[in-house]
Amino acid sequence: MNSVPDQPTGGHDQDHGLVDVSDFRLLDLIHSSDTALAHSMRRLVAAHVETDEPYAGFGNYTGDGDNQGDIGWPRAE
Amino acid sequence: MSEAPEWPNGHLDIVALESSGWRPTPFREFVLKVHQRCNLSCDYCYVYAMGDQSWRDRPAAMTPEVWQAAARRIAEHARTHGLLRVRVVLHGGEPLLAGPDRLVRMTTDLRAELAPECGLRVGIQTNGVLLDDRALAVLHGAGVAIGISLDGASAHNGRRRRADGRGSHSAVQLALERLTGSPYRSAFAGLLCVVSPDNDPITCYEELLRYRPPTVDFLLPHANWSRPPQRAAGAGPTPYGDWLIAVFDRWYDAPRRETGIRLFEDVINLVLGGTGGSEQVGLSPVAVTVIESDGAIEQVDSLRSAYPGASATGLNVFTDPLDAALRHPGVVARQIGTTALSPACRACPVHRVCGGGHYAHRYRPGTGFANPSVYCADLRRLIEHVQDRVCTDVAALLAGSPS
Repeated sequence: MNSVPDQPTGGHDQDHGLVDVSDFRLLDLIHSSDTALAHSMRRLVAAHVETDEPYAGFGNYTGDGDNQGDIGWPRAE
Repeated sequence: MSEAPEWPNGHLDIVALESSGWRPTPFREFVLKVHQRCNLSCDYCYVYAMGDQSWRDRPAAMTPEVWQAAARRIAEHARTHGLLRVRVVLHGGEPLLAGPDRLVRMTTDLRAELAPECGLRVGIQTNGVLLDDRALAVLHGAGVAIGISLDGASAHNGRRRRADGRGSHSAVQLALERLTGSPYRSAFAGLLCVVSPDNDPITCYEELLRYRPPTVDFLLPHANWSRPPQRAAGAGPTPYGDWLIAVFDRWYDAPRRETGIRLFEDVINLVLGGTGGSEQVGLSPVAVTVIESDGAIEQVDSLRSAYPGASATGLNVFTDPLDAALRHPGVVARQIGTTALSPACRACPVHRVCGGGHYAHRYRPGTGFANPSVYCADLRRLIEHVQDRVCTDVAALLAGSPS
């Protein structure tokens, strides 16, 4: 399902994803895990609550995650 | 009769886009070409070895007048758009050829123009050959994050050679040992590795892991439909996708995440319903501009791999605000999501994840950038693999049982 098919909005479409970021069962499961998938899901949740407009950065620079949406979430140790 | 211009030039009706509600996304990343020369001669380099030779006509090193004018334009842009933070990437050529003291003066001047209302992060992307103790101390002291380009172990790094043919690996290895030790480790931003299907993917990845990088970025070598990527005789139809999948599985199956891999994390995030953060995949508006050593405001320089002058806008920091570049067709084309995709891409089920692939890889003489990526088959294979893995694991998570 596309909420804004072919609209010149920047192309963001949150409706195509697999995950409901407000699903508390999922949040509990990923909170205590340090796998690559859990990390990505935490990033997704963090980006969901951020107010900054998403944008794409330079693909030739291993930057320090300004647009990575992973700020402030507790890490599993 | 003159030929029609190649897409997007002359094809985008920016007034109509604005009437439909589209607005440009301000630039948040500014790539300063602080030095036009390089002390390596990598055979895949888009600056020297592909379609464009404009580096020859520019000043070798950026002068204080240019970087101060650039700093004023960046600050003006940040004020105009109310940006709370921006990033500057010191880039080249090889940026350390400018000398660490000059780079710190640039950083100081940038901070002075932007403060206090806008935060500034500064990074440098270097080949590492000149990253000695003094350079490290100076850059670390100035808060500059350092990314290093390395294609793996010595045997994997054969395309990153000096002009006289000598290898660069031992010098870069020394630099990485310095950078990843005390007290500089906090300045280590990550590694950049160009994919080569000739190299074993797992040993290449594990060699990079030796340095415990916070991130690794795997880049497909720049190519397009007139300069297709190298494919070894007898290779399957998707050698780059296959290579990336091998690394993905090694990375994804690790019991603990060993590093961030931006391409994979972007694809997972897009599959999960989020957005991408780099220009390699996804449909997020690209918010990067380049300022050359002569003050020219350009599109991302990797476009030069397509044809001479492909990144030019005709603008310059001495005469034009950065906002002027936001209305350049090449910049607009990268901020309008699916509207910029070819019909073939829009009909593809993974187009919201791949986003058409890297813009530079879509170029075909005659039709310009309105094409699928020359890596389309490789990207689709990677994305469908990641989708399968992630779908299976998310379903297992929600079912409460490990996969």
